[in-house]
Amino acid sequence: MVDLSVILAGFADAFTLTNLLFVFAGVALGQLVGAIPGIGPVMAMAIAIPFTFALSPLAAIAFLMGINKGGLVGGAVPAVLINTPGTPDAAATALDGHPLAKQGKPEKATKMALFASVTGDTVSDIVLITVSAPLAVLALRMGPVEVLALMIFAFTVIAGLIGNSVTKGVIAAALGLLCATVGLDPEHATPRFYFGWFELYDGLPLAAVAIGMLAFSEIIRRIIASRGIARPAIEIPRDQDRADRRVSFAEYWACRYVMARGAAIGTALGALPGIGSTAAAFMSYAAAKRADKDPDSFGKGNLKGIAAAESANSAVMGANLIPLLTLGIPGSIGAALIISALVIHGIQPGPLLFEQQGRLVYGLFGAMIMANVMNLIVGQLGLRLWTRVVRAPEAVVFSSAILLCIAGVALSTGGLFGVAIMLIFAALGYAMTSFGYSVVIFIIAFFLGDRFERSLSQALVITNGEPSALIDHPVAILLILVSLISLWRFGLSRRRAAAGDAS
Amino acid sequence: MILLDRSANRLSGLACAAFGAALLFWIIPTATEQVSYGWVKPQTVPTAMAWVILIGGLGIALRPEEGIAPDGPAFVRAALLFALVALGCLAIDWTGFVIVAPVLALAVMLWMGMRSWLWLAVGALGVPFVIWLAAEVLLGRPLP
Repeated sequence: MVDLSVILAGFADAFTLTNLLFVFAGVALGQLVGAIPGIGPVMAMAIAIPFTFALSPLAAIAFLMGINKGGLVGGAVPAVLINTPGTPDAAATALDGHPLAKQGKPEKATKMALFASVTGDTVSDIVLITVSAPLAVLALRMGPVEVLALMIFAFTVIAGLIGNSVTKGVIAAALGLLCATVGLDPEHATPRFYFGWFELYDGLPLAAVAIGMLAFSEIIRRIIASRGIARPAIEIPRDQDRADRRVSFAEYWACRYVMARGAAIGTALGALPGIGSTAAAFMSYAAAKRADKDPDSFGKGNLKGIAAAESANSAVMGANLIPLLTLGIPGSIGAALIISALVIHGIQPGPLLFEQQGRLVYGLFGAMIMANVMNLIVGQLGLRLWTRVVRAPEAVVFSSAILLCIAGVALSTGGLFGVAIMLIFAALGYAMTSFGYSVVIFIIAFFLGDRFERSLSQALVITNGEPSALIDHPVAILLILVSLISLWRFGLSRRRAAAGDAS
Repeated sequence: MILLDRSANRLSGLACAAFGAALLFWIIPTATEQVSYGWVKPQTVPTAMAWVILIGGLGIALRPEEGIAPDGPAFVRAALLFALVALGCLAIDWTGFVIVAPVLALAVMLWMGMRSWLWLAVGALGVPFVIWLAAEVLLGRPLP
C-alpha cells in the first residue's frame, strides 16, 4: 500500500497557487467550451494537450482535468437554454432543464445542474480516491497472461457497448491496433509500415492521431453541417425574481436521494470501460422518474430531473479513472486523452503507477478536489458570462479551432509531418463516423496497442504457446470466457434491437 | 443525394474487406521484415488484425446490421475543406504559420458565410496573434 507520507506529499504538491491557477484556467476553459455546442471538453482536451508540454506533469494533468470537469458543467448551459446539449452527456439534462428555462427560470435550471454536477463528481472522486489504491495492489498480482485477457475483455466490452454494431466495433478496434503497430515492433525492433518515412520509426504520434480523429474530423463535420445556418441566440430574461434565479438549500436538499442515486449509478457505470456518461444520465433520470411520487411532473421542468441527470453524468468522470489508474485501461475517450497526456509526460499508467508515481497520483487526486471546488465557484460566477461568450459566431470558433489544431500538433510533433498525419486521421475519422464505425473504440485500441502486443509476446513466452498452460491462469480463462459470452450477448441484443426497429 | 442505407453499409463492408485483403497480400509482406524466431513476429499482430478486418468487412457486406445514410454532397464539401486546409499546411511549410494562419482563418470564415468585418478581423488577426503569443512568447516554442 501507499505510505501516508506519500499521500500527504501528493496532496501538498497539488495544493499550490500555481496548480490552483491551472485548475482554475482549465475549469473556466472547460465550462466555456462545454457551453459551445459542438466543441465540448474532449475536443478542447485534445487541442490543449500539446500546449501543456511546457508544464510540469501535475500542472498539465490538473489543467486537463479542469477542462474535463468544467466541460460537464458547461454542457448543461445550452441544453437548458436552447435545448441543444453542449455535450452528449447533457442530453438528459435538457429534458427538464429546457422546460424550466421556458418557464422563465433558466438560471435556476443551470444552477441546479451545477450543484448536482459538483455533488455527483465529488462522490465519484471520493470513491476513486478510496478504492483505486487497493485495486492497484490486486492488479499488481496479475501477470502478462491475465493482463492480456483483461485487455481482450476490455476491447470486447467497449466494442459491444459503443456504437450500433458489434462487427463495426471489432473492426474499429482492429484498425486501432493495426495503426499501433506502425514503427519498431516490440519483440524484434524491426521497423514496420514506415514507407520510407523515418519519422514513423517511433510510431504514429499520439497527439496527431488523437487530435485528428477526435477534434479535427469533428470540426470539419460541424463546418459542413453549419454552412449557411445562423446560430441560435442564447437569451436570459433580465427581469427574473430572485427566487427564480437561485436554488434554495431546501430545493437542493429535496433532491438529495435523487443525487445520491445518480452518483451511485454514474460511479458504477463509470468504473466499467465503455459505458459513457450519456447512458448513466438517462438511466439515473429514468430511475428518478420511476421512484418519484409525481412522475408526470418529469419532462415539465422538475428540478429532480435535472439533478438526476447531472449528478450521474458527472459521477462517471471520476470513476472512469479507476480502470485507467489501476489497470492502465482507459474507460472513456476523456480517460484515453488523460492517458496520452501522462504518456507524453513520460508517465506509464497502470498498477505500477501507485508504486512508482504515488505522489503524482495523489497530487492528481488533490487537483480533482480543487477542480470540483473551482467548478462550483467558476460556475456560480461564470454561467451568465458563458451565455454571452457562446454567442460568438461558429465561423470564428471553428476557424480558430483549426488554427489551434495545426499549431498544437506542429508544436507537439516538432513540425508539419505530424500535421499531415493529423489530416490523414481526420479524414479517416470523418469517414469512419459517417459509416458508423466508432472512433472512440479506434482511439482506445490505438492507445493500448503497444501494451497489447507486449503482453501477447510475454504471455506466449510464459505459456510456451500451449493453450493447456492456461489452466495455471484461471483468472485469464474466466476473463476470456466472459469476453466470448459478452460478444455473443451484445451481438444478440443488437440483432433483437435491429429486428425491433424493422418491425 | 442520400445513399441507400443498406447499400452504403455494404459498400463500407466491402471497402474494409478490400483493405484487409490488401494488407494480407500486399502491404504486410512489403512493409514488414521477415523474422524466423520468436512467438510474436513483426507480422503476427498486423496479420491477425488484417484477418479481423477482412472477415468483419465481409460480414458487414453480406449481412449489414444497421441502416446508415451518408450524405454524398457533404462528403464532397468535406473533401474540398480538407483540400483547403492541406493547401494551407503546404503554404505554412513554404512561408510560415504567422503569414498563412490569417489567410487560412479568413478563407474558412468566408466559406462558412461570415461577412461581418469585425468578426473577420477577430478571427483572422486576433486569434493567430493569441496563438503566436501563447506558443512563441509564453511557451518559448517556435511555430512552423
